[in-house]
Amino acid sequence: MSKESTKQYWQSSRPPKDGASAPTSDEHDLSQWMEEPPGHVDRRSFLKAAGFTIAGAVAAAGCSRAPIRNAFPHIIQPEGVVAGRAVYYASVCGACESACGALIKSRDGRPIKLEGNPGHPLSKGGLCAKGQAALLGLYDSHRYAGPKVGDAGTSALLDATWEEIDQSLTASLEGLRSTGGSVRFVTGTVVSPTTRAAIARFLDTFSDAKHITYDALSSSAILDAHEKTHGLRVLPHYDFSKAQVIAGFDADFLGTWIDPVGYTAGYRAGRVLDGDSIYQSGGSGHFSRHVQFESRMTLTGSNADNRYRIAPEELGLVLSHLAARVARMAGTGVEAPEPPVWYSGFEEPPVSDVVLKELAEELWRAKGRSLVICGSQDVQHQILCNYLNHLLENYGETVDIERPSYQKQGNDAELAEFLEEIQAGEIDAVFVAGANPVYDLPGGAAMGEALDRVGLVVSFAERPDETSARARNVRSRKYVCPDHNFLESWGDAEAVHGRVSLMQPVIRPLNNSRALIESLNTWSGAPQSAYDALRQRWEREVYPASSGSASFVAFWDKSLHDGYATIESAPLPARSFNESAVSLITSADASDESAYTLVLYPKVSLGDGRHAYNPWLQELPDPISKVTWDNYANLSVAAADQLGVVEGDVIRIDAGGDGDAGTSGLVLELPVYVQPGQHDRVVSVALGYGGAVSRRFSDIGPAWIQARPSVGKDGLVGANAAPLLALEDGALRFERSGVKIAKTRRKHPLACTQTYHLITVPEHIAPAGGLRREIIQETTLAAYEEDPSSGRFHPLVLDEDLYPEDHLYKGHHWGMAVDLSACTGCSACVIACQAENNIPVVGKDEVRRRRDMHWMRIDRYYSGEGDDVDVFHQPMMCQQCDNAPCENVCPVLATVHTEEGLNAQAYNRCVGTRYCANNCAYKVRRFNWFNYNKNRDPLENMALNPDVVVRDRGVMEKCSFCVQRLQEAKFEARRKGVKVSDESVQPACQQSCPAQALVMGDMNDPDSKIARLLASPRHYKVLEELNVRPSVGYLTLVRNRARETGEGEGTEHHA
Amino acid sequence: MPDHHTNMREPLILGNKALSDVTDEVCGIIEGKPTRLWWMAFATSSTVLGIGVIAVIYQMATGIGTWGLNKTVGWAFDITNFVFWIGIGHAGTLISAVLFIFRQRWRTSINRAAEAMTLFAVICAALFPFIHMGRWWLFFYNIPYPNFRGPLWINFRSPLVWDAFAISTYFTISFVFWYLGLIPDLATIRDRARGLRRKIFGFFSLGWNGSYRTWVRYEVVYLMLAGLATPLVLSVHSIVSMDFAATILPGWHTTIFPPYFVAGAIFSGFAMVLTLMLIARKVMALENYFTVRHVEAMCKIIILTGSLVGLAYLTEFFTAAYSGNPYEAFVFKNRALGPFAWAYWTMIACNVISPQLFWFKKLRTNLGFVFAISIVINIGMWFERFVLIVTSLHRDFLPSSWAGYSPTIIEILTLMGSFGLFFTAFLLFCRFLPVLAMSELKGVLSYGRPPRPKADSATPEKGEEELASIGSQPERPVS
Repeated sequence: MSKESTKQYWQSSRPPKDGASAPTSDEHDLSQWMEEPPGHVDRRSFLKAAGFTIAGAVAAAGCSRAPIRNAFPHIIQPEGVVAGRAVYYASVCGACESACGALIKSRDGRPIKLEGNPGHPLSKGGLCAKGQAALLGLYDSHRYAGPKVGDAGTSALLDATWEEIDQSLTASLEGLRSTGGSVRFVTGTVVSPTTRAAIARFLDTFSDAKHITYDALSSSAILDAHEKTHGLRVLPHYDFSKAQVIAGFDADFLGTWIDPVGYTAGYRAGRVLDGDSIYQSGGSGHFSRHVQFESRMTLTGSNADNRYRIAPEELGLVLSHLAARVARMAGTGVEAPEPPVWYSGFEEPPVSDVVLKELAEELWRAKGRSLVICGSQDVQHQILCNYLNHLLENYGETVDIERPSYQKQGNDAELAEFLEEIQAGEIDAVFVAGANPVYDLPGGAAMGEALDRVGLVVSFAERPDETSARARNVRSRKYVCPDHNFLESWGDAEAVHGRVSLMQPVIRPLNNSRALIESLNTWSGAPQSAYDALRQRWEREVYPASSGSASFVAFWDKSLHDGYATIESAPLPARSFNESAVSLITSADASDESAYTLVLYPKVSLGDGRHAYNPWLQELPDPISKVTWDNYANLSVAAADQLGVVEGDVIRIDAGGDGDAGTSGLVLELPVYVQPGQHDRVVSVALGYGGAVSRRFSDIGPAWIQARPSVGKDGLVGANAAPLLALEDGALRFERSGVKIAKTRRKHPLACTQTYHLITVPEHIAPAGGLRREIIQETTLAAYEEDPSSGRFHPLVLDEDLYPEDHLYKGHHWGMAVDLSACTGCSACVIACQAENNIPVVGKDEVRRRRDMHWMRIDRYYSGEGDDVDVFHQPMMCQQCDNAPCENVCPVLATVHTEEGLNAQAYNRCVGTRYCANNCAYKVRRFNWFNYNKNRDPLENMALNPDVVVRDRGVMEKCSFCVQRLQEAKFEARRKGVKVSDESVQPACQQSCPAQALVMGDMNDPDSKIARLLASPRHYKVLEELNVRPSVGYLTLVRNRARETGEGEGTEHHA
Repeated sequence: MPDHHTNMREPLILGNKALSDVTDEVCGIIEGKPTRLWWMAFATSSTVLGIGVIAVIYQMATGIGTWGLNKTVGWAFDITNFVFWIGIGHAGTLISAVLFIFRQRWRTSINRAAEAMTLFAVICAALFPFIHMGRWWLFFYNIPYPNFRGPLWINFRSPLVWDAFAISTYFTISFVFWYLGLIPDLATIRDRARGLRRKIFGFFSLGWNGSYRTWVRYEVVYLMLAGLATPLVLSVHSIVSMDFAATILPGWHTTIFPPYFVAGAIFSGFAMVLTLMLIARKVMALENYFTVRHVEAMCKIIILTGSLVGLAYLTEFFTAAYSGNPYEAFVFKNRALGPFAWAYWTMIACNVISPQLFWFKKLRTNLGFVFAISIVINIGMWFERFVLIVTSLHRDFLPSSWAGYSPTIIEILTLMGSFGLFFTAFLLFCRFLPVLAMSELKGVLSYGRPPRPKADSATPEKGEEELASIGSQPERPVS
């Protein structure tokens, strides 16, 4: 952990004592007395517990298991535990394989929030929306309460004990060992070396065993390409901070691709403007140029300096053109014809040749400091990408394969092989951990039927999913051995070679679950707890590579405290580039003019769908479309016009396939969303929807006569598009050409949080000079370098007041600055705010009625015509105006100004006239139209932040600048007798921002970051002309693009 | 010259009534059995009221979310209805106080009903601020009563607080004024009744004995109250308009609002009085008391106020264009051409164009036509408030927050229910209290005046003169 941080993180003081049997470990003194299965907290036991203890641990009563016999308040406070004070544990986020560093905020024995670990070498303090929302995965009453067994002949899974499971499973495994049966262990990417080792050890006990790793969001083509070009099947670690020119090809690296948090941190570090080096020590000092070629509008594309629309089929051609150009500049490599006979062998590129020429030149000029990224699952494309990086000498600089990333390890070729084996009935036992192949694989349904025929199926799923809870259970013997939630687990992660992190439990397991490692060790015949296995491995393998620690204990304690360790591990041996693998693609696949190409993509909110159980993520607006609770068919403006459809019209996407009965899976019926910036021949659909876990949302949201459910007629949220994936040529392909689209007559209104998308008002009602409002002020890098205040709009503000200043702000005066150049729109802050401030989920119908409750929203605007648009992201929260219009209209003084410049909202006082919201220029106030807390899963109440009031119906609420955190920081500073520091007053949104786009602080403190940012020539206030004097300022959006080029016509300047 | 004594004009009360005729006919309505027509009207309106009550109870129990509001449009039907009903309530005071002070004797036929209408309309109006609160059970936070909450009192800077004061003042004065005017009539009924009825009316007539001294005091107090009530005609709706004018929202933040609202309120109030009286006239056979002459006079006021309202609409556009404020200009363009243009043009058609038809004497003496137009104006004035509130809110400063609005069934039923309440209360009023001010009517009877020259002119021509003419204090016939 970095020295400058004042926060102290705690490690679990006592490891579990016992072995691998049922977890009865006591990680927390506070939780010793608690017992009872979760979700069964009856009033009686709650009151009992409340009466027995004065410690705030009452609320954790739901996490207990044994009947309460003796419960006493602490007479002597255990060291490090102060009732009502939060303790932070450094750990690893387990929401995906990126394995970001997380700080887990724990109050009285229960984790209540996940935050980014600022010291973590990869995520650098950021944590994405999924990671922060993963907290609800812990407090999920739908998780398996304990192990289950499904017998042959029965269709139901029956409760079992771990002893029974171990007994009967061990017998079955012995049988397999003796008969040499084939065992397959199917997982997603396992980023924990200890788990990988445990799996390997377990599989070693069989003669025919194989670990099949696949990623639902596969990147296996990158690994395969590197095997061909460099002899190493690895995923390179990309360093965006060093890259001065970035060319992205269909890779949404800021949104969903591999490691968005780490990449965003690097990307941000590589886009530094003069004077804002305060963000990041070790900023690169340059402002990178980012050109993106993509088929659909991604978060990454929306942030690019220049963005070009290409069809997926044209990707290879564009890459080849670029490669050929760069190769000519390098004077080596592939035979490339001389211009002007240049086009002889090549089809013309879909983008202007000038664009490619300029890009090639830019890349070449930034040789060794450039980066070419490709998200395609076509190995040929990836080889071209490698070739480009090789020619540009980026290997070893921005692309590291000697210390590669382990965030995607999937091998689609092995997966294909496994699927064939299982269809052929050649497999005797399948273990599934951290994967849901029946749901997320193209042949999922068939795979499910095949699984039914496998003799032994063991699932480690945390909660019922398509794979673990298949109702039909014909011949197989089936076990569900639920793994702990990551917040209950010991573990480690090596996301990038040599960058190891430790995961520690922060709560005793809520359910009768057992760590995967413990289960495997038990069945391997060498029972060992996860903790022991972890510690042993670290002592044997990690500690020797470390330096600076006197003993293993000291090293272990430090690593546990920090959440990560710095070790020196030997680089992998890479072969030199194999040019013979490269072959240029000279033409784009000519596709049928009437057909579309289907592109399947993950959303920032749900990813591959494993988080579809999570109401926060279901209700998180997509950063681009702003749609919640559904997936939909994106069509470009031109395509929608051509088809004669508008948003909400249901269309039928027919991907063909064999016309056999039961294969209707290749047809999807989805509502249209018109997405400017998508390629005209592309229809794109999000993955991750339509999973069985979404059935739980059938009654989410308020119940009243005109309410409509959040699920569709089939009881699911959205539709599963995974059957339309293709597993071809040993790679999971996310696009499928030759798709037909037909209109239906049905309508399905989408639940959008933003329904007007342009930065300009409709032209036919625009007043003179009022077409574009100066909400987003932007400039180009060149203009900025000439004049840092370029792009600023200076409205006429007459701020002379008739009345004397009634707020003097003698102490603190809180303010915030939002750097629009840094913000990518990733929406991590939205979930951070939701978790911190107990913001309820309202359901699809309420969002459709525009009643979403997020205090922090990210406005997304387009400028430009049709599909050639520029995209802007603008985080918008309460602006804490000094001349607040909301304050003077409230009849009951429920919203008042504090001495520190906040617009305080007194929920108890609010009677709900909504006058304040009407008078808010920024429309950031949120009203509790119903009692939105009523139908929350009772276990989710555990995740509530006790420092923030849960609002009743009829109450207005809004961003408070996380006043509870401010108060805590002030008390702490006073206790220590120090000044309130910038680090200590971070609101939730700022804390987890991977791009460090938000800065809050005391504007009265001349040394604070915020004071310096306010003085920046880029600083402006939104709607400054109203003279409401907001405390939130924005820094102009700077794009690194030439002033005259760029397709966005909307980039007018108001210098 | 007292117009009721001249034979130059058509008499205010037709039928050559004697004093006792007035007493008999007005008291007869409440002393006899209700007519079939009354029962039908009452059954309808109380059913509608019942449905409204169910809707209101449902939304009070479930939450304001049962309305179609959203995070952008925080007010719509609720405040529209509120302002609409307050506006309706305006005509009562104007007729009873202002016209009294200006000695417009023709008011005597309508003032009682108009005042009652005012009270019921204000009750309907007051309902909406109450039920529109997210936490209506804490409505008393709006009342400045002594408490132990330290500095948490009401916010005197909030127009909503001014509103509460303005409306409660208005209601109180209107009620007292109305009640005071009722006292001589209550005494008349008391004198005609026996048994329990006599006791009840005896109690409420406060010991009225019809003596000279009683009359003198009554006249003085009535005049003083009229003087007190007159500024309220201007103040109430001015203050209601400040709910909007004191905000920063383009389309709301306008200095023209107070006069514009007052004109609109009188406009809609007169339209509603016309609607009610034209029905009451037919249902209760009051053709002789409420004559074409009354209707015409009211139509002329409608022309005036309707033109003022139209002028205000134009002025708003001019101000928006002239101010150079792009937000302001946008809001008005958006009103006329945006998603709610249909509502805007409904408003213009109903409020600006339809009253201009009253310039034609043929039309304004055609009672069926006047009745139709009076309803059209009521619709138009409801839309005025709807347009004002919703179009200003739904597209304000940040385009990201722009939203639409459509009402839910609960909102529609609540609006209907408020009409149910209004008509039910009015029908009960007609049933139990003298719908015409007998004592005042007797002062404008035309008995004893020379018969009118026949063929000369069957209809009066100088309508404007009537408005300006000032009669001397008539002798008061004793009941």
